[in-house]
Amino acid sequence: MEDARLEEGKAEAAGIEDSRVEGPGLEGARAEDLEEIDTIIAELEVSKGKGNLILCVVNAPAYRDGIIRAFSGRFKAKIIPVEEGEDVIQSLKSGDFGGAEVLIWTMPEKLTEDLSNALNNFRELFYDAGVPSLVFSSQRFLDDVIRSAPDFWRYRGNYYELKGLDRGQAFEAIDALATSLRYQSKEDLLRRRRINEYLLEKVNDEKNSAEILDELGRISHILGEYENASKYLKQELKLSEKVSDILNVARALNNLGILARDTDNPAEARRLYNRSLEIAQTLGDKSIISTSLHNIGLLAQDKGDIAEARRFYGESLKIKQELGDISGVSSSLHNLGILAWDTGDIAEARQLLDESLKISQELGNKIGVAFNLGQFALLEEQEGNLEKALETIRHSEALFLELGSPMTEVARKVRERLEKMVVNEKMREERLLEAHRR
Amino acid sequence: MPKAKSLKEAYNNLVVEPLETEEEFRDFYVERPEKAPSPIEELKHRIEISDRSEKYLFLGFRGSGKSTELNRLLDMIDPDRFLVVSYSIRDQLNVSDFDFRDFFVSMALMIYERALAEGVDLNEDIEEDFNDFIKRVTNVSVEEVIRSRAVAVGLPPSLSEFILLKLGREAKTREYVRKELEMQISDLIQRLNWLIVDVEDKTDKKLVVIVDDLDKLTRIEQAEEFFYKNYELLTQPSCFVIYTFPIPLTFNPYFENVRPAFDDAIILPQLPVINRDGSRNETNLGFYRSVVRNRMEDHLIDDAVLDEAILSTGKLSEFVSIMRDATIKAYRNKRERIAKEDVESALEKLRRTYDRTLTEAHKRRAMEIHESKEARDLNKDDGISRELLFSLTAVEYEDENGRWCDVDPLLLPLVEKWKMRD
Repeated sequence: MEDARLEEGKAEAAGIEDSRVEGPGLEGARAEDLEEIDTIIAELEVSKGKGNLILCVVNAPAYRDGIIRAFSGRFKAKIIPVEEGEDVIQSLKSGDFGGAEVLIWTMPEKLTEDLSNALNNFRELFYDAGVPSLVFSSQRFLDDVIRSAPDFWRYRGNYYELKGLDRGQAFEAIDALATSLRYQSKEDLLRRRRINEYLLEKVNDEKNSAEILDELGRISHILGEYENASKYLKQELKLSEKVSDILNVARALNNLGILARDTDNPAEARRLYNRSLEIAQTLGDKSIISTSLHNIGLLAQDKGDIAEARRFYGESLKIKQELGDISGVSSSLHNLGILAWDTGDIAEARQLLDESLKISQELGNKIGVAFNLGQFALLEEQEGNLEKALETIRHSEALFLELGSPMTEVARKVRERLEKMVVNEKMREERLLEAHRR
Repeated sequence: MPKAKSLKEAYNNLVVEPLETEEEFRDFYVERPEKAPSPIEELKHRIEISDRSEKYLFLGFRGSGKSTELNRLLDMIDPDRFLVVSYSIRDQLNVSDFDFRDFFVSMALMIYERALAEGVDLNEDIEEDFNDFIKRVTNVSVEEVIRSRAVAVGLPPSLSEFILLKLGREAKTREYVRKELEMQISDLIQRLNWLIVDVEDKTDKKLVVIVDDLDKLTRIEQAEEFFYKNYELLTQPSCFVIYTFPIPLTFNPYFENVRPAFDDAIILPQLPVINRDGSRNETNLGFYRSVVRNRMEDHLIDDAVLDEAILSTGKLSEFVSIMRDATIKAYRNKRERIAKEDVESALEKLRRTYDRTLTEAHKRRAMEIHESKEARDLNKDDGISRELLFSLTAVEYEDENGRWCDVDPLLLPLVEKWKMRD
């Protein structure tokens, strides 16, 4: 009995610990985002009765809506969706905030000239309101604000960048390689590396050497050895330029772009993708055009520019379907699934991810299967199906491990979190059952 | 192989098979006339001097002697500089259910088998990876091969032989391989090229692959699918490759798109025995006479009877086949030599078969070809001329005055009959 009380006490303590990071709309949020949200709450608390302006970047609308729900549970809030400049001016000038403690603004995906002028020229209205404003926008919107509405930008109080649902790095949208690399296990991948290193010594033909370097670069990339990958891909680019193998130049640029994105250099990635696209368009090589479009779409998605991402993915998907590039279609569907999820359309997300998963399974593309299962695990978690989420992430983690992917670590973290949540959930149920018995 | 002294021996010497052994070449091979020489010597020189691993199409009507010429090439290529892998798809695969994916599996396995036979010490990783990949895409396990060894009579097959047997005989295996390779064909070609690089490096020889009988795919659609839809894949192996190519496909306008992808299209011309103007081509007649004279003593057939057989067929394999048929007829009739009626009887039998199998559309087109000496389809949906060429009912000839077409000389009496009827 004593032990049971002790356990109950521990569970309560764990519950208190978790209550800080849980809440309606915040399921699956990253720990660092929850930290940031706590700070925003603190800032809003101290800003009560003052017209402080706080900016918050969230790319996925569905995630943003979850956060707003969490704030609305904490503060009496008035939510003001903004489409054009007049919405901002009229709302602030009316002075009728219905007794709200916080004004929560949601900005559109793109900053129009009209909205930019309104923010820049009427910025003091925010302070005159006497109620703190929390302005949500995408990364792209904020980038445009910094460029086009500098006065508004300077006028702000603090600003926050939330990363999004804790899919982990592995479960973000998938980039598209210029040529696919299928392998069965880490041993298989390492053997391919040995073969290519051996062949690099044997082959005299520069075109063949460039192809070998390409594969060595991609293998290093998969293994997370970015410096090696960069070294091989740069050699490939140089050699392809030397022998005027323009198509391979475009391929190498694309792969270097992926590397730049993965090493947090989106501007360089965009430059490389654009060059690759330009060459591919000149050559009329539809395969590389579709790959470049896909990867540019991914950069747009990173910045929260959902419409732009959807447009690029759509164009890329159309070409892949024309070419019968089933593997490429699978990665497009995967990313479109994540976009649907980001906009809160869970049913659409499920359908697209399911299609992508089926194709990956049919093709025996284990890495594609692992990514899709990872997404499904997070979807199940978000919907409260913890047992199913745990089962799915275990499958995904096993595949990543088998393939020697650095994503194994991310899947492991998600699995551990889910295991903890399942245990907590069971303990909570037991407590409730015990209370009911008493 | 001595000249036949009797009809019985003559019958056995008149085999419609390509010449293969040194003895067969020494005794039976007939040099082509000076004005229409075999292109094999030139091909041999190209291979010897080329720095690149070139890909060639080798064209010729069925039965025109392509396989014999390729067998000659095999003997002519310097074995100290080149390793030749020569095989017929008829021996390895199912020509009535043929697909480019089966083809590339067979090519990779033939190269691998040859490497093993030569005792090439392949790179361990490359060999292991190749075996893993092949087992995966064919769904064949080592256990299965071992089980087959347990029940096999005679020499047990190797893994490659076992897979090739299954590919050739089992529709289920072909279906599995095709599905597996649907999206992995480039992976297979990559493995093939890894093997090629390693074999060439270890033997210090260039690899030459000769693929015979691709012109014998049973349906024209199959041949078009293989050569026209997948021609880019055919240029990807990193060694010399000679593909036999069905000549009727050259009458498809698409041939002009495909042809530049290969380094050369080498043609073994059909030697006409009747010129375009209807006169006899004595030089070529001499070539065909020698084919028979090299195989039997002169007393077994008169020149006049022999000439009738030649003029009524005008195609090497058909001519040899008619002679064989006439020989058995003469033998059964207890003659000492082949008589005119034996030849006529054999010819008539073959004519009746053609007459029965040709449709009215084919017959009308055959008459048009005979009149115009051209065999063109009316539009891209019309395949009648190509079908006639594919079945050798129509033949394309080449001489110093260029190319022209005519119906098979065997059918000329039938053409006259059809004209009268119309």
